Amino acid sequence: MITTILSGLALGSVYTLVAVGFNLTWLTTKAVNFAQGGFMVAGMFLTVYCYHQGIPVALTFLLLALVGSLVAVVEYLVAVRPVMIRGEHSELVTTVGALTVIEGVILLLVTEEAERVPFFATDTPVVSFLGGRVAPSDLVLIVLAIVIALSVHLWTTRTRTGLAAMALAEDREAATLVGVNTRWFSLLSFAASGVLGFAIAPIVGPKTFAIVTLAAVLSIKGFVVLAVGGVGSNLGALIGGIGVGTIELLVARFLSADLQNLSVFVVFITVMLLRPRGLFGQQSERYV
Amino acid sequence: MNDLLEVSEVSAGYGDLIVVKDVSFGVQRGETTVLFGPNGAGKTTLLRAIAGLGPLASGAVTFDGKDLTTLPPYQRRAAGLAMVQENKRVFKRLTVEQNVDLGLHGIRLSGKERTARRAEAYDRFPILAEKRTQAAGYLSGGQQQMLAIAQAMVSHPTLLMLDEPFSGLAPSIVNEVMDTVRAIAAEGRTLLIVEQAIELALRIADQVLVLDLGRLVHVGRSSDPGIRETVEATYFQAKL
Amino acid sequence: MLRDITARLTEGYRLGFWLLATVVVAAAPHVGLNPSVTRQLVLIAFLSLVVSGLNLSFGYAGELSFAQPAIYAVGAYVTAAVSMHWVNDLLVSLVISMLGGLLLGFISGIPGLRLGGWVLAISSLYLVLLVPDAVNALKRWTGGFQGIGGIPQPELFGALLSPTAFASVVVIITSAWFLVLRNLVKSPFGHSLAVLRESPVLASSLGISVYSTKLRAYALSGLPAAMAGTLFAYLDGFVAPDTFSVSLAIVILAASILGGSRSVLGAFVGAALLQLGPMRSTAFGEYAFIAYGLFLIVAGVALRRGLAGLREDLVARWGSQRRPEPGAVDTSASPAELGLLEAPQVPLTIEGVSKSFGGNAVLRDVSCSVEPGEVVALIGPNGSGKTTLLNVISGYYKVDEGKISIGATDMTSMSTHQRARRGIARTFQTPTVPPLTVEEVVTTARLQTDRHSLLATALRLPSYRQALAETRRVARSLLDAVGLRPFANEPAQALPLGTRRMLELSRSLAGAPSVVLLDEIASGLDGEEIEELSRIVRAIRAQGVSVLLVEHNFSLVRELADRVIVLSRGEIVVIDTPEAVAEHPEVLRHYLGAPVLENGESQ
Repeated sequence: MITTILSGLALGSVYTLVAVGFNLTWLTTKAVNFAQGGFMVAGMFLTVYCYHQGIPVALTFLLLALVGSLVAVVEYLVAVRPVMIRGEHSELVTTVGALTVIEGVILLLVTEEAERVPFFATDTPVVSFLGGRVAPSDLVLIVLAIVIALSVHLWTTRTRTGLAAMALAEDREAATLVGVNTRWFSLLSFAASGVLGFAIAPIVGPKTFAIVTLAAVLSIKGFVVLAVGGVGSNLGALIGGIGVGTIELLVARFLSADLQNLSVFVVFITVMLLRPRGLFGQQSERYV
Repeated sequence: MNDLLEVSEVSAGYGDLIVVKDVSFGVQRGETTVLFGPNGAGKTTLLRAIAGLGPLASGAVTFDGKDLTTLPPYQRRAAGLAMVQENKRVFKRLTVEQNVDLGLHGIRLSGKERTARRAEAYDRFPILAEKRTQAAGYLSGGQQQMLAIAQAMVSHPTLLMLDEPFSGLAPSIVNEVMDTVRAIAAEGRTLLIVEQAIELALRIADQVLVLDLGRLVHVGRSSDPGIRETVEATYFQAKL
Repeated sequence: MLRDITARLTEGYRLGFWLLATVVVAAAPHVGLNPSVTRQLVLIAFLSLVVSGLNLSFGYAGELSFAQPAIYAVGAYVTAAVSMHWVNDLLVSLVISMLGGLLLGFISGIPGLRLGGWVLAISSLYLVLLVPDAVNALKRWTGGFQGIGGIPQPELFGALLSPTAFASVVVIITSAWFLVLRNLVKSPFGHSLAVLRESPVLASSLGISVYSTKLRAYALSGLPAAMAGTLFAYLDGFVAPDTFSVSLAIVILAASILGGSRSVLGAFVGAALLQLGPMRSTAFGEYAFIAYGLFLIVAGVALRRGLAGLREDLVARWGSQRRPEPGAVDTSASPAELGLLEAPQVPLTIEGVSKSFGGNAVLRDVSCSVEPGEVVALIGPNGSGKTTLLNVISGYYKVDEGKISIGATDMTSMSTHQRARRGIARTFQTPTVPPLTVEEVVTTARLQTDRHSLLATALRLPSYRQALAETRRVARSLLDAVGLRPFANEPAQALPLGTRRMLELSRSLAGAPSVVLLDEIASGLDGEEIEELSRIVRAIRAQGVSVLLVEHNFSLVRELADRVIVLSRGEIVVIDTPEAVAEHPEVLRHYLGAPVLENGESQ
């Protein structure tokens, strides 16, 4: 039981990290970047490559961060900024397109469509923890998810740039009038989401394996967690992610593996019907 | 004439709905210019265009010798042009403190200078100091208006634009805001104010502009005889 | 009259040509078409069916749902189960699958109803994710992940269909569906989808129920995918879950956009292009994903208003040669022509209405009425609540307190489209017109009065034709009355602002309303255009309609209004004639600000 819960917390942490990535770009551009799941998967394959090439860990992280920010910025400039002004959900289509391009590039460059991702290039055995068995990578994953979600949350509430991002999210026009460089913020937030997606891959990979088809699944489930937790809330992403992941694996273990995905869907629909703005989401004001 | 702000042949609107038609005027340094006109005259659209919030269908805006036409709003702010929008538009989910701090965003100042500017703001509006940690959404209308002005003033703007600063305020609060605006003008700042409250605004105006159905129909001084009647006449007058 | 005959002939020719083409293509496999080419043809048919479903919900109704692969799966697996365990008949399988498709299509649209675009997209994608799980859970009938084989060759009315015969049947079925689709889309129902896509707010104001129209579109969009599923199952006798993937969903979207999401045959074109290109060659396969992805990005960025359809964009941008000049409209037609639409003459009554937004009272205890045959103007300074009052009357906002009635009917708890059906029409400050012709735009206001059943629409039954002719007649008369008849077939979006306002005005009359709400119709217009508009408003008044006019232009108010309501800070200041209001000292004070003395007292 504890084992399942721990595993669920770890899975949920993955979803949380995707949702935090969504939040970063949503705050400044009001666009949910469907390619976020692709960032993670691409990062996983890159990690495997680095491992095979014998590149040291620190350098791997650096490379991931650089590639991540580059990919995300390019995506922003090509697929998001041009459609932002429209006001419709065009970015839904273009970011799906971006995800597809990323998948395509991965397919082009790799030999296997699914790879195991070793944890820091080692094969650490499962350990005992709190009465259950869990992989060390899972523990690191959970801790990191909490740290990252909380950090981003604190950034928005305690720092000057974070404050500007919140202002941007609340009222873009007013923010630009007080001098917030909305363009830069949008660009940088995408870069940050890219860094997050790619650089967290060595920690997420050991749990999920690097699989191309995972990209869309991560984005979809990440969105579910985002909606359940409340769009724009990092605390929501944390609680939502952990909750969803745990429920998912508890159902898989004690009911049936076939019901796993369905259970998440049920949670999604239920929350949307009962509390459309999500657990910690903001009530949007009706402007006359 | 060295106008601080020069608006030449500006037309603006939304798509093919042009609500500001071919407007030209100048705002002199150190003066208070008030823009009058009934609803739908295009006053807000004009102000927004000057602030950079809407594209110009045609024409140009020059500020302090610089051509603003292609600059985004945040760069106009950095250049010294601050705008206080109508309807007390502050960041309602953020605290008073955070709103004031945002007024300083993007301005290069030392820590000490920032503290000094904040102190200035709280001096000018003691009520804001009291409510420092409250979310702006919970303030009364008048307090929100003062917060909006504080947010703009904290950047020491060269030109301060106010869109209907007295609208929707209780009479006693109007007085307070009026005093504030007077004080700011007395400091030598340049002001461009959109107002419908003729009585009030004529007391602080140096230059008077009247906009009607998108066109500038009168340019004068508040000291001109019969100026009040001229302005009033546009409200219930037959047009074109 | 001649035009009608020509239209009938053209339609006859079109139908004939369609039938001929179908026969030719269906016969081809029998007269020596290469079997591998036949197979490609069949595969294109499948894809085009599925894509056409997406076009219905996305291209026409404007909502992006990725449910198609899931519905496709339902069609295929249901067919497998039915044909292997019950009865093997193509028609039976088709019918049962289509019922399943209808149901799943309907269900897949529900989450998006209240929650909007992203929730719809994600939940529909999720359905695709659930396919392998469902397949595995129902292993007994679906064969699980391995797939299920041994689906028998299809029989039709007892006769076994050879592969070539099957191919012909596929062609015929596909062609029949596209004919039905065309009939559905180029009809008032199709127009209602276009209106919905353009603006749900507009749709409600025309009496169109947003929810029920969306649900119908989703349900219908499930039909072709289910059909394709059935045919797919019979093609190779084998079905496996990995066919119905997220990747397929992306291919479908790409094909839809490629062929034109709003073109009837676009689904076919897009499907053909993709099937013959990337999906066939494995060499391209490596780059396929990149190509699809880039295409989606480019298409999303390049086309205005998202993926509106290139043709509409071109039309809107360059319009037609004959763009009416402002002032060219001839309004000398007799206002009596407007009288052909009799509506009950009832007053609009507002009693004690209050409305707050987040603690701010925007309307306070507002009471007023508009009598039949009266024009009442609503004026007030900024922030007075004029727009809110109009929106409250339309039904976009619910009142906190008070009552709104039209005649004896209490409308307070009715939704916007219900109020529209009870006789409230309105215009919007920025005229919203969908990408239709001028005449079609006017007919969209009669979608609720002249209802056509979907079946009659799909099959172009005589009842449909008659009803449509009547609707058109009414629309043309209205256009005549406002002088817009010469532009009946022009794209409405290409008209200049003043003419669009006129069009909106005549549209607002088409539904035979008792009450008309006009929102700043003169804004942005010049003298002549305003003149034309006011003539029409006077004609409307002469007919006994109750007119409420929100207006800034006081000279227009003076000309038109019988009474003026002055609103300030959510409260009524005075209700009187225009002259009285202009000289009322209080009114001036509200507009011009209370003169405040130095010691804080107001005069």
